[in-house]
Amino acid sequence: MEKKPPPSQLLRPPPHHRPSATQAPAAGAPRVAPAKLSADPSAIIAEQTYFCGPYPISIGRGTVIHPRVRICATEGPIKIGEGCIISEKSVIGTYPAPTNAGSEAGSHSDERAIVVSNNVVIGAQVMVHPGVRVHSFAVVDNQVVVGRGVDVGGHAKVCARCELVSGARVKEWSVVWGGGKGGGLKTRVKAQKKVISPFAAGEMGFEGVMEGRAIEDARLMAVKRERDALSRLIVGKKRG
Amino acid sequence: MPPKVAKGEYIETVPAEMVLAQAFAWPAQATASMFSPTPTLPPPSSSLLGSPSLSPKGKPFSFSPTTTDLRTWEDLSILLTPPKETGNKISRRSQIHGTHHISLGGKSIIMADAVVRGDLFRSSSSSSSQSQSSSSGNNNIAINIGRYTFISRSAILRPPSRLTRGVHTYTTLHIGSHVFVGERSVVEAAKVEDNVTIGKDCVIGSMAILKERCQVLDGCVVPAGMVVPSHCVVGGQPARIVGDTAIAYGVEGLEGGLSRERYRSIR
Repeated sequence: MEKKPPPSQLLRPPPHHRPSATQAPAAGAPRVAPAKLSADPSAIIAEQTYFCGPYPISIGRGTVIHPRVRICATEGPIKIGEGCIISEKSVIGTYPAPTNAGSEAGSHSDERAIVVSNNVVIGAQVMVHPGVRVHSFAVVDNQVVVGRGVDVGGHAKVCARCELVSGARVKEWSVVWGGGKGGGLKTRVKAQKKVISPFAAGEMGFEGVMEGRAIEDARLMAVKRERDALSRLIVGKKRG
Repeated sequence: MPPKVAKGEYIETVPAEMVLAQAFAWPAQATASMFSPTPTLPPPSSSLLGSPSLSPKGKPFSFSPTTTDLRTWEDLSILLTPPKETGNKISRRSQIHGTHHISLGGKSIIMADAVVRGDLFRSSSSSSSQSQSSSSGNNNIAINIGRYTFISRSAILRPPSRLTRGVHTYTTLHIGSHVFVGERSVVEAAKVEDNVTIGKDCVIGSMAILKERCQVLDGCVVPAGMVVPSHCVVGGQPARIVGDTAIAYGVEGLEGGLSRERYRSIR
């Protein structure tokens, strides 16, 4: 259903990205084929980002990727849209295990594609498993685990340390938050406890609640500013 | 990757008589001026130090190169600390970015795989040249860590950020002394005061403030901007106050006061 990313209209990663063999954070990881990376020249990719996997990875315009992010297209192609921010130590895809590295190539790769649409903010230490679709303007906060086949709707927010089990669907404009004790049972679907939408906010009658759309617009402006700041900082440290 | 601690994993900042201090150029900039102005004697080998910087009070002072580190970082400013700030034990496998903008108070421990984002510093409009950054002082410090602070494995320290006057700026992450940060915790607080214990798998949101001697339980999510009062125990997602710490919390040898023990146990 998802289209494959166009065959590398931009073959070169941004000039400050140095795909060296020594940047792999995990020594002893199985050596897989070098990643097929196509990144827009305006994307900000830290030096210490780790790419691997046999499938193509494409990164859109203006996306900021912090250091120590691992993007592993081991089970399907990965497409990251424009204007995303991906924070430290997040893992997009599954890290190649010695057993399954490269063994499952082929048939289901499109189902296992990870598509991160435009202007998505992904926090630190997030695990995004194969088959995940994150729609535009969504926020996935720190330490979230996004299971296989999860669909995160547009403008949704998944708050810190929530866990989306496989196949969960988060509706657009919804917020996933809370969670009980830190037992972290994988079987538990964290329900959508609260829906803030342009309509629901009015119905609930919160005093002083601005319309959701206005808040969201302000947030997106803040994200844009953050990207601008990061582009100065992350690039600026190279050969600075 | 086995999590075993290899022998000699930690690099300790040691007095410089043991190593060749002459090999390191002295950065006459913010890193020097941010430490507590303890004017030491003019070093005998001051010609090696470059130009001595001015303290923020305008009083000339300089540091003798009595401390350094064995780690071969590209910029060694984190290592060149006054004598008081020695004894930091930093894992070779820690992932430290922007060492120019990190200050360690001494006897602090940073374990393997911990990410310290010193590169996200406050880039003010006047941060164009080196001389200006020296005069602007603390503004360029991204992360300020006190003494006997313990950063566990895979923790992430990143400076908080906010939008001020339409500009997205990062501010300093202050971490006090005798602070413990558990494994895999993400700390984006504005300030973590002395004797705070942060459990493992915690998320401390942006611009939160943890007052002194409070405790954050494992797996807690402290929302952005929350102020945790002193002597409080917080837990849950999102965090709420669930109890108090003892009056003597953080006293040496009692609960919460094991920072010196931890420091000794790491080698």
